[in-house]
Amino acid sequence: MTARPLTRAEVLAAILSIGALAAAPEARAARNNEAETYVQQNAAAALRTLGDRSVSSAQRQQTFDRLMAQFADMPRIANFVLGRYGPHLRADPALRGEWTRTFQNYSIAVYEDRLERYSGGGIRVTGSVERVAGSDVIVNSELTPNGGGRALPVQWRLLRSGNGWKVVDVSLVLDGNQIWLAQQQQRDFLAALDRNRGDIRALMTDLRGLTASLRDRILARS
Amino acid sequence: MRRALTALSFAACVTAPSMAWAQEAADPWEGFNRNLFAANETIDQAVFEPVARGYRAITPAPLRAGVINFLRNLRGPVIFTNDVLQGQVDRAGITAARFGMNTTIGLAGVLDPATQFGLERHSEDFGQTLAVWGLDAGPYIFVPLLGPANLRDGVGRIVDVALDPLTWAEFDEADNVRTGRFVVTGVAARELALEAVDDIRRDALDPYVSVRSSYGLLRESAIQNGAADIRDLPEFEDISELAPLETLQPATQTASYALPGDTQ
Repeated sequence: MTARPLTRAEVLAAILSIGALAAAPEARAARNNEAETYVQQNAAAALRTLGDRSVSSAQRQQTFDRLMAQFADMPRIANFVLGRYGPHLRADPALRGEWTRTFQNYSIAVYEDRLERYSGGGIRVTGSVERVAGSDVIVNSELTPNGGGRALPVQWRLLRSGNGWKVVDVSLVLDGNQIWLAQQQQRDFLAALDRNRGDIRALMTDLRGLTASLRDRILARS
Repeated sequence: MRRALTALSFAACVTAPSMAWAQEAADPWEGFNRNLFAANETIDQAVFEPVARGYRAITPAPLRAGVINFLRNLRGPVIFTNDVLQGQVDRAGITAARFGMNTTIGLAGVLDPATQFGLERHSEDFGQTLAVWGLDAGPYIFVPLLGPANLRDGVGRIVDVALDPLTWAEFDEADNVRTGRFVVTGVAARELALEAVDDIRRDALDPYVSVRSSYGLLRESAIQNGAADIRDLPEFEDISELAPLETLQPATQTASYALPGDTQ
């Protein structure tokens, strides 16, 4: 058998095939449908809950609280926003639990207050990209206000948690500029802790006051 | 929240490369800045906020949108120059095309047909250019009437004024036009920021710090021309090895909804 020399076209095709094969795993890793579905379902449920006027405000709040506690990894976010002060809680599980609960109540009240502007609106997941394959994903979406108007681009960062996913940060893209909210909270909390010599209990007192004020406002609106 | 951040962003745009997420603002003049911030709050509540609320009350939203479009279009030459100085040829082309289209068929920039044609708006300023050239932000400064900045962006704003053709234009009433533009820009920016400032005054742990941190993060994003490289995002420490916390769910569950993940 004599070997036929490869034509230039065959060599080119072979190179392209190898390139395609090499690129294929990357292309598959670029998007995560499971995380996208998770965001679509949970964010839509949150907006639906806030827009449901057929139930009492107390019932609405309980449902929203429960949903957000499932949707987001509150203990992990609560640890992140403390930055360099986070390790101070390691030796005191009771304080860590108290901090996480305080932070969770505050965060949920903030989201309930702000998302109320989008209650009854819609969310459309537009894609995702894996930061770390299978464990760290950024999901892109658009929030549409009730009654129309320009959609707000929102990104969700999800980390693998057990067999599922949990949100750890949310970013808004405004006028082309992006702000990750947990990062902003971290800066705000670190500044407060620096000023009060790392007194996490004092920070918790302040957050409880803000939470109460947010709750009063939400209640007055409903 | 959107309006709050939009306002901060717009304020930066009309006046104003590596992701430093963990970097806290260098604020060695914090005491002085806080005094200026407090003075600005007093002036704002006495003058600017009422003017902005009055402006909103007497003008329809489409008119206000037209004013903002017009003001943004006026910045076209400054944005174009900074695009070029940053070596962003494609973006410079978009800026030039937007300026040409909006100035003509967009009725001097009041309308924004360029966006409909896929020419998305972006902003650049000399502060961003200096950052792209490698200059550090320098100390944070708060300037009454002009808002948050840092030393680099403050210098950038001055250079942007010099880069603006309207600064040097000579025609009848030129000074009045320049003054009018400054005033209208201030009123329009403050009107956009009404909810933002309300939110910060009402809900922020420390309004001064919230303004500073928002400004810092939005500027970092602007310097990177939008969304950050996801590889630069911070790590969230895995705390699963710590003792589990007791359940954080509300004590009573009377919800009647089926939530995603609930067993049906």
